[in-house]
Amino acid sequence: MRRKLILKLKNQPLLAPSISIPFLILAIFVTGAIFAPFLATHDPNRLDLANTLLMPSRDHLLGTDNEGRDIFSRLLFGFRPTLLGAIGVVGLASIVGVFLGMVCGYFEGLIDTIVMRLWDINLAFPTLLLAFVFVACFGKSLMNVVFALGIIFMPLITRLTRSLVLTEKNKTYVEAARSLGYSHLRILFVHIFPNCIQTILVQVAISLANAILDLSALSFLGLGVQPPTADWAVMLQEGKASFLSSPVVVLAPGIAIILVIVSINILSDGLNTYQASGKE
Amino acid sequence: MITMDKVLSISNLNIKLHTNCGTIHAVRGINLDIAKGEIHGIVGESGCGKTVSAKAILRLHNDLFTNYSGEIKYDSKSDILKMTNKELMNLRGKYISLIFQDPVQSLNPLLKIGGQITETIRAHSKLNSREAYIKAVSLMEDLGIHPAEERFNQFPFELSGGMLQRVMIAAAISSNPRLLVADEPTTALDVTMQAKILDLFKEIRGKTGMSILFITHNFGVVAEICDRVSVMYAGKIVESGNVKDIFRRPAHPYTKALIESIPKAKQTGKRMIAIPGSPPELSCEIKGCAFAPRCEYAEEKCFSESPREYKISDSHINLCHLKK
Repeated sequence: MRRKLILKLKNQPLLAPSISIPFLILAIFVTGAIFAPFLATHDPNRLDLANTLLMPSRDHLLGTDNEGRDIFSRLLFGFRPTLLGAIGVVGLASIVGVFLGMVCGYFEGLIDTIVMRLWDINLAFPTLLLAFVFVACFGKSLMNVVFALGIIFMPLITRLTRSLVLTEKNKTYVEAARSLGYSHLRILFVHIFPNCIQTILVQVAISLANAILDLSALSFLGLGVQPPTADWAVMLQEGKASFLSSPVVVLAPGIAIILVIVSINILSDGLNTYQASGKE
Repeated sequence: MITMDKVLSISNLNIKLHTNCGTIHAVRGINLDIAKGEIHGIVGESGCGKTVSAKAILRLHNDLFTNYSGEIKYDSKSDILKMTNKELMNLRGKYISLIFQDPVQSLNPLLKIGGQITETIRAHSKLNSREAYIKAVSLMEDLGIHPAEERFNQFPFELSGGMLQRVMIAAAISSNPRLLVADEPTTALDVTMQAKILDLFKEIRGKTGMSILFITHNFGVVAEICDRVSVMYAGKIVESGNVKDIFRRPAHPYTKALIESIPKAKQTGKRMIAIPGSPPELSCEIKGCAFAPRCEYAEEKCFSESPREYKISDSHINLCHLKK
């Protein structure tokens, strides 16, 4: 009985190490961010100038930074703006991108040409440069950066969805659906969309990792999340001066960013493999 | 044959498909009338324009890449080739339905089969979901999908090809269309299943008086279920008439050759008869009769002049220079 269970778990493709381990890491970080107020040992923004740059101890699990703030608490709270921002970026990009991609792929013609050429122009700019332009026009804030990155991420998702719809719409079941008199919108969203969703989800996951990285880069440069809000990139920026004397200040947020991004990438790769094996 | 009530009448239909490899003149002026309640067969080898014509009846070709000329009149009134998108949507599935060759490919793999039947019912009527469910289940029972209520919640991959073809038929006839176009509906099935599905078509016709346009490359199937038959070659209908006339007195050399090449059960020790050569490319213009290069009776005239239709009898039409 027990052996059977173990065997069953072993053969469960969703429990493969390339899916379960990154999922576990991400789960820990996301839970930490969600329950930050309960898990944090200190107020992340309380200055304590008497105790700056302390080494990790029982009181301060990861030590303190150059203004005496508790690094562990800031690490918990610091994931929140980036996570919310990244979800915002990917949400905006995928809602608009998937919709445009489906419409362009299905109807083709003039609307397809217009949208795709616009996105070609968009893709011609380097990602961060376009974000700089946006921030220069509308001011420094997380909202503006999220909006900018959302627009920058749209073309990829649009193109992917469009190509999926282009192959899917020539399949017989779509023709059969048309021959039974369904409306275009119904065919597009009830019949074609579910058949594309798997591949789109993998792209969305990859975009999520990219969005976190880009948001962090922009916040590090001082364009996104503004100090004193706790944010990993802001922590990196503030700690870089004391890197040599007290490396934890920089290493903690740095390693956190790396872990999250690598986990998302491995997870999306694992899901891709899982999906491909399911199709065979 | 009663030719009073025409469900569908196609006159001088030409279809040009624009593809990456140039324009293909796939259908070259066909005339076809389908009377109420008849089963009309279209026979021909692959690439002769059967499927292209069938799809044109519902205008399923992409309008951007297709040129139509001629007329397809539904119920002697409205021309399908001039319909707006909205009218077409109302026509498809409600008045004319199409069944495809491969049932496994023609159902959405991610939706339950019951949902795909009720979807059609609800698209063309005002029934609510409960009423549509009842109608779908009784339709499935009628078509031999047992146990219907259990099958209703299954996905296409859980059913066999024959069952899926019954599901397709259920969806297609759910709104009692006047005309059912069946595009090689039995080709992907094995022979026993084929016989059952053919019986099903006859039964449907008997019960509802639906006309059926039956497209196939199998003369045996035609003999079994059709009332009238049209033989297509290179985008043209070369001979059309009652099944009996066509089988007993085939007039066109192509029809003759086709019937001769049906394998016979008693024939042993002899080579099977085949038509030499292969059909012409439909991307180029064809001078004279398209069949002339393969025809054993061909004369000089056949290579230069296109043959005209002439009537052997009221219902029997032949497209050949050699009138005899």
